[in-house]
Amino acid sequence: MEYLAIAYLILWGTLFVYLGRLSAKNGELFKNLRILVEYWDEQASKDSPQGR
Amino acid sequence: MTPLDRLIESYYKTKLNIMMVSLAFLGVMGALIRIFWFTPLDAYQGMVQKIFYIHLPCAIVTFVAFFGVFLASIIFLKTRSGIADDLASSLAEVGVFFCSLVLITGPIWAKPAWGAYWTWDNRLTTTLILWVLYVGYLLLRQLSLESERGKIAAAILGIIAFLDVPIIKMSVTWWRSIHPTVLSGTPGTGLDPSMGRTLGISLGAFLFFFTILFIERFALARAGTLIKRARMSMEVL
Repeated sequence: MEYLAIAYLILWGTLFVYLGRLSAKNGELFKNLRILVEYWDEQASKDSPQGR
Repeated sequence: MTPLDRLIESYYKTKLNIMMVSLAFLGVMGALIRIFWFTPLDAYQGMVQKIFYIHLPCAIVTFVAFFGVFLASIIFLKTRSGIADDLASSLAEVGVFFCSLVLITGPIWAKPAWGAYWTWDNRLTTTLILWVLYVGYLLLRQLSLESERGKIAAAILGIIAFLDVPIIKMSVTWWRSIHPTVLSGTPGTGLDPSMGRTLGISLGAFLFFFTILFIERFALARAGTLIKRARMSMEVL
């Protein structure tokens, strides 16, 4: 039973490692999103009638 | 970007996300170590009863998540706010995840305790209905291709589906059931104080874990909404 409990702990640990990696990827996504949104805003202001 | 999106951005920028995931990891691991090594064995059921400390917190977290879907859906129908819609969809997904855990851990416990993995007991059946309703909710969102009408239909389903939660809670009182009522038993019954503390710790850890999962899913939903909006504004121009 002890081994089962340890295996269960390892399973949860693995899940959290995966969650941590997923969270880091989400962080990257938001960093890139800021660049994209700024680019889009810039393009939108250039293409708008006032910008031309 | 709304102030909320900036808040999410700073959540990642300051590496608060890694700290929160680490804390959730420590919380769940601490709870599991306490469950397995520092909580007395149940006199009748032995080791298998320990699944209760995971099964019940997962059920409570499920109800919290679906209550969130219920509230967010009402707000969405009143205001048509994109944030409320993202909140509802994220909470529904995380809620379905925890509801699935309830439906997996329940039968594992039921087999040695009742002699069968599944019986069409009131509480079990109403919980399965809840899971089917919210899986249907997620399917509806996917199949309606995130259209405005689809979002409205999903919000209505999100509100109606939540009505099953009080039915689950009351099912063991209204009808005869073999499902135990540990927390609302008669005087002299219920949990040993040490088991109660373990349950409290486990509930706290799972609520925190749920919060982390929800933040990650909500951030992803916001990113999707922002990209969609920016793309639409580019197409208009």
